[in-house]
Amino acid sequence: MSLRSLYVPKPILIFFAVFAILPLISSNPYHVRIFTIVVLYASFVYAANIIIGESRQLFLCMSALAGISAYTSSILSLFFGINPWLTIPAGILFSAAVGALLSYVSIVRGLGEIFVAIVTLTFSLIFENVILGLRWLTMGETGLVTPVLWWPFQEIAGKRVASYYTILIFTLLVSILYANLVRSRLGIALRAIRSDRVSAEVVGIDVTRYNVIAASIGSGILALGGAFYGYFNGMVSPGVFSLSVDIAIILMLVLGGIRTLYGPLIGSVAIVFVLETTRGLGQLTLTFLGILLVVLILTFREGISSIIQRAAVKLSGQGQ
Amino acid sequence: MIHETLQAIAGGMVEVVIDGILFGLQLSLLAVGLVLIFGLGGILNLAHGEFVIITGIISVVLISSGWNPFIAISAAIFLSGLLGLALDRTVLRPVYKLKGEMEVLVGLFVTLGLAFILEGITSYLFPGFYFSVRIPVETINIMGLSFRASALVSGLISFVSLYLLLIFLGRTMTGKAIRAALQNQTGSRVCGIDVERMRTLVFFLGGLMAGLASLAKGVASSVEPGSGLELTSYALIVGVVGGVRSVYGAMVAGVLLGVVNAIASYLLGTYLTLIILLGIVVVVILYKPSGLFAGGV
Amino acid sequence: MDLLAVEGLRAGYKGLNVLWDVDLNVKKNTIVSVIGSNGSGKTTLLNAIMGFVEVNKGEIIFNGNKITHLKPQERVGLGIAYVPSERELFPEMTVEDNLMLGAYTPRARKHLRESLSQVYEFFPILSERRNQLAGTMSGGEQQMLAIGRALMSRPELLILDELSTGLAPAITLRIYRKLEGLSERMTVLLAEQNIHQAFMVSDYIYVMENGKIIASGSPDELSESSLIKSAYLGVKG
Repeated sequence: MSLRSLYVPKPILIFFAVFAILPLISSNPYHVRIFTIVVLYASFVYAANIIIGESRQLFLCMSALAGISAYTSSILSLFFGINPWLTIPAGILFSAAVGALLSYVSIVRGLGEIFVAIVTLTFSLIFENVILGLRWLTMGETGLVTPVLWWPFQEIAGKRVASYYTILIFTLLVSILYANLVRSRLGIALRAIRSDRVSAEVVGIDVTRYNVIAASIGSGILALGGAFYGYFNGMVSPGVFSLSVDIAIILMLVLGGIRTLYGPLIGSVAIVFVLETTRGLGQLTLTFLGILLVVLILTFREGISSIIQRAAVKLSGQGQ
Repeated sequence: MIHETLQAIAGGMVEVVIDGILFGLQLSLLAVGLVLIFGLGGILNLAHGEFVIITGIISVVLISSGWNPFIAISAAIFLSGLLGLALDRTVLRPVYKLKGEMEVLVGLFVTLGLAFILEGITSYLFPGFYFSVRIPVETINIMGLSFRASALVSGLISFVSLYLLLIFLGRTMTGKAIRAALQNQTGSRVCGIDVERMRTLVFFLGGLMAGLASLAKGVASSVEPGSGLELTSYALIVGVVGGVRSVYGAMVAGVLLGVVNAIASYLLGTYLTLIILLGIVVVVILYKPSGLFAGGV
Repeated sequence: MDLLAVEGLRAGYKGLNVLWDVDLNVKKNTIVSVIGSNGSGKTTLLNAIMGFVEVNKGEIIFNGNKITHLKPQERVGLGIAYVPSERELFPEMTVEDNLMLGAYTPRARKHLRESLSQVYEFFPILSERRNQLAGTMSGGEQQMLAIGRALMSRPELLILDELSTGLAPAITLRIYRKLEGLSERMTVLLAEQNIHQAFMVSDYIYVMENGKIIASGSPDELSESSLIKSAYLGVKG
């Protein structure tokens, strides 16, 4: 695809313009940290939107895929003493390969969504146990202090703000990638497979190939986001990449609107806001997340973004 | 010399295997409720482990408020059954209206949410709490081999519970109707069986089994808030290996995995054991998604 | 007196009607057949009588009571038994367990032992195979088991859908002979594509096409009708 045919919807630019001026409004370190987490999670939710939404593969190992790349990149940098930017690609490749393998095996074995969920859930548990077990390499439960990553323009803007802008641009690119993916051959093929898998196969759409590609792209996004997360956070541990991150991602996806362009942004803003305001509740935060999940899934499966879109269509319809 | 060493290992091995069987029975009991509910309800109840925790909490609360321990624990197990029944009658009602994969997926998320809700509440209200039933005797010697009394009693409780469940499903008309509903819902309706009522009953039974699993675990070790999802994943592992819809399969798979677990942790240590168990799950799902012992209910 | 009366029935799937104003009456202790080509609505009609299809208009009356909106299992409890064309057995249970489940309703359970020996007498093969799993039996045996299971509920009305599908003609014939013997004690409603057999055993016949009843009468009356002759009996009128 040439750059000229690249589709960049205007609202996305407006969204990101708003995000871009946030650190200018408040440079409070706590606030900047929250902004960074929102934007980072949005990239994870775009990945989930591709894997779970577009290709309907219920991956419950998204945090593990992010974690694999974060650990790989950090460990390689520490071991060889080289710049983390050089090891990030290795982390991405590793995670994308694992994601592709999980997807390929599930499709070839004809697993239904529920079994994909169980396999990937088991994979998450394996990931956690491998990290805990390889204590000499990963520092186990205590976590590994990541090497220092140089963020572009950190000399001018300061580390915190520089990392925010790097991650913001990454998420912007991811959102544009998603917008174009949906309109591409791949997106159209995935839509055909979703609506009727058998007919899609009959007309010659290679179900395995497109699903594996979707899973690899999604895993690659998770991987780069995961590596950024590790370096931004200063350490990686099993707790940082635990299953509750998957739950948060799914909540954001469902709340914002699955298979929508703006859903991941809306969802991550809303859920991070809720999580931050309920921080004082301790263990009850978990309860709160649970209630949110049950209520959202039962009553609100189409998400905020579709409702806004429908309202907009209605309004413009009345205007004509 | 070598001969004697081998003999010592073999002697140790017998104890290890029997220990594995006893633990495996506990796993079977834990899994059987999950499998029953998935078979008829089509709901993979990820809140299953929370039932175990809640039974433990209710038992201790009742005992500490002066109830006879036996009555308190029985009441708690019964309440766990009622909790299953309540789950079926309330939050899952809207899920049943959906069709096919959608029902399964939404059910998965609803019960996951429920697991979070219960895990949060129980850890918040009862931090540092544990449910444990002490057996007055430390060890029991049988034919020159010595066993922990708690493991034996726990195994016995599990075995009796599973046996009674099998009798109920195999011999009584209601039990047969449940199996019928698991196999063919239209056929059941043609026989005059109210499939929805059977489903409610299965949720009650599933809760009851989780309650009994709580007792078995409380006798063998202890039950603590915050470990619900871990218990659910054990049940899931057993269920998947046995065949997610097969009650018999879950029973056999539980014992098998218990033995594998005991031997592997004896020879290789706990860390590799868990990886081996999870590896078995992945291999089974990939090569025989219907489970190793599927067939029959 | 009519045991079953269907009045002006409109019914179908997902709000779309398949049946259009169907009227049908079944007298006590008779055998009544519904015939028609594939897709004419026979099975939908039987499913509506059993409660497996939503009724949008009209009434179904059994033994003087409106049953239009009862659940299938409640209709079974009132004394209607159904043998669907798919048989819907419990494949991983024994023949005897399948039969016992046929007597699940309270009114049938009281006579369970008695019904069981009657069914075994009626279909001796089932007695021989009582401990075999239902799923491992041949098509004809499964059909007998499905009928046997329906008889276990001691029905007043026995409804059979497409008895002859997938069976060798000789076996179908044998089962029909047995059904004729039943009509002294029981009322039978059946849907058949094989109209020769329907003509042979029935007291009264309804002809369906496109979800409507287009003709009805005794076998003698219908075989005189030129419409039926040309369309169904392959006789040039």
